[in-house]
Amino acid sequence: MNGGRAFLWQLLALAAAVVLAPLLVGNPYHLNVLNVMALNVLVVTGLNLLIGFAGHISLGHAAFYGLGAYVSGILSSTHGWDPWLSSLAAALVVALVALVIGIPTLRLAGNYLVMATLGFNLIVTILILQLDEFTGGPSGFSGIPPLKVLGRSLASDQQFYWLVWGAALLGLLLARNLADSRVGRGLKALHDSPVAAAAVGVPTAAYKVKVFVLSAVYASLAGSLYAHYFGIVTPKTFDIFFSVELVTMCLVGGMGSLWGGFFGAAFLTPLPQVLHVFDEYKDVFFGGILLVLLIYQPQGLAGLWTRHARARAARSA
Amino acid sequence: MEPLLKVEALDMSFGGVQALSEVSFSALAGRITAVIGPNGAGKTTAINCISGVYRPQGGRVLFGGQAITGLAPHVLARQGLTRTFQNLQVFTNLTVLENVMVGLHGVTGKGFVSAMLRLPGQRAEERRIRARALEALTFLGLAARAGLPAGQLSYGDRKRVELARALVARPKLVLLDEPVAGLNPAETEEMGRVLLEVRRQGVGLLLVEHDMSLVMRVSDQVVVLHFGRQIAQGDPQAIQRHPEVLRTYLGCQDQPPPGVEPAIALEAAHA
Repeated sequence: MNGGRAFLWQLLALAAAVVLAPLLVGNPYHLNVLNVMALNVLVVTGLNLLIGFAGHISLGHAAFYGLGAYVSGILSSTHGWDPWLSSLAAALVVALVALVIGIPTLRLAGNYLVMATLGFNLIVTILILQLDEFTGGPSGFSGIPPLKVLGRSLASDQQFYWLVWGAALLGLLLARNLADSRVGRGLKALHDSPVAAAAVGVPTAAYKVKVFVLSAVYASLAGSLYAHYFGIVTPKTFDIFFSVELVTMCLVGGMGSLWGGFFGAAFLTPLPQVLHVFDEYKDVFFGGILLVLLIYQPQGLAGLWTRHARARAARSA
Repeated sequence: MEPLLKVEALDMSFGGVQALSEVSFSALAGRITAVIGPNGAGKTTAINCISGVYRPQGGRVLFGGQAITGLAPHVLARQGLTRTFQNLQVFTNLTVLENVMVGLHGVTGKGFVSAMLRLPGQRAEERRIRARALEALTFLGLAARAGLPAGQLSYGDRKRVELARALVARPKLVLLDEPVAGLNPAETEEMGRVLLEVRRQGVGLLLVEHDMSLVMRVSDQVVVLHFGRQIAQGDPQAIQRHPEVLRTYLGCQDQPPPGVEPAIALEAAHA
């Protein structure tokens, strides 16, 4: 995770692209794809903090995303809360759930942690399906009100575009700030050598739990945005296959690279739309990409970029 | 003077192997204490018990008069007890400077929220951390390499990065697990000078080391372990003539063979 000055310039370039993109993309369907992409950028950036910093893979992030969507959706429609307030409440609930899940599971190593988060995701999916009185069950939960800014509803693709990309850029900036700080260095250190990190005062167990909670909150906020954007949520959106997709995005983009979340989401979100042929076989396709990438380019797309930059630096030196 | 560190009757066994039995010794503030002994004597186990990596099964450790037995390593670091590792544990994905900056983790305090929001106090703290880390790197002659990824350094430089990381927070006591293992004679000589300079600045050192000439040159006190038992503690001269030590190392009762310097004799027995 690199968070120097260069990152700020790159972020500024992305912000410029975000501002210019709607001029080129008139089609609401394409705007919709861009909006979903921004939501994914947000979730995967959070997930990447966990994978890149603590070195732990979670196959439960779709559940945090789903909880953020359902809790905020139900509070705002059934109970009439303001959507901003309900999103915040959902984030708090998810933070608490992540804390309770994280404290015992983050003691587990490698594969066991993956299985624990996977199990958690399954439980959440089943709860959403079974508590149909509150959640609407398999047919989903609809009638979720949109977010409002200055009394105006952000209901259209265009309006939501600004909000969600603003959130994605902010999410990237905050992740970068964390990476380039005392806490960020402590997290990177504990990934490299937990015993040495502890020996200089890094509370390794507490940090792992905290970064897990943080990445869950990223997912929750994205989920709440999703709910208030589409107005309807269904259980299938948040099942374990979406968790696998998120991890794939993380790996494709580049584990532990701040830009990894962006590259991964930007590359994989539109792919099923562009290649309609593959829609049926989406999961096979994602799995295939994952395999090929892990074998030939384990650093992901961001790794390709840094390798290119390094080669250029070597040539000019 | 009351010792800074007191180890009292430590017991530690792994499965059926008794690694430490009733081991007691002490280390003074601002002095260099060496722990020596043949391979398998329990030296590293003792360091791991003191630094909180292992929890000893019996006995206790006092640091500055307080019992610290079983406290987590990161808590001990905050109290001024840090360490280096026998098998280097440099953070290879961080730069040299960042490695040393992590060394200040225990004595600084800004958390997740202030880091993400870049609150003013956090930025000031970051600047202080950077300045102090650079100071420590300069002291160890590594300032020119500050920006390099630590994974690219030579073995000798990595050892110095580890030492800088352990020293930067100005701890009261640093545990050094084989600080010159793998270094060439010139680097060993240099490390000896650095250790004495650190001592001069008032930092206590407890080192585990096989290089007897270094141990005899820099130490104020030497502790000898053998098969998990403490067999002697004293100043280097006394240790070199201690009958139990000579028996252990050389297999003879009293004096080393005629014409052999005691320190060299101990060294030869090690190799």
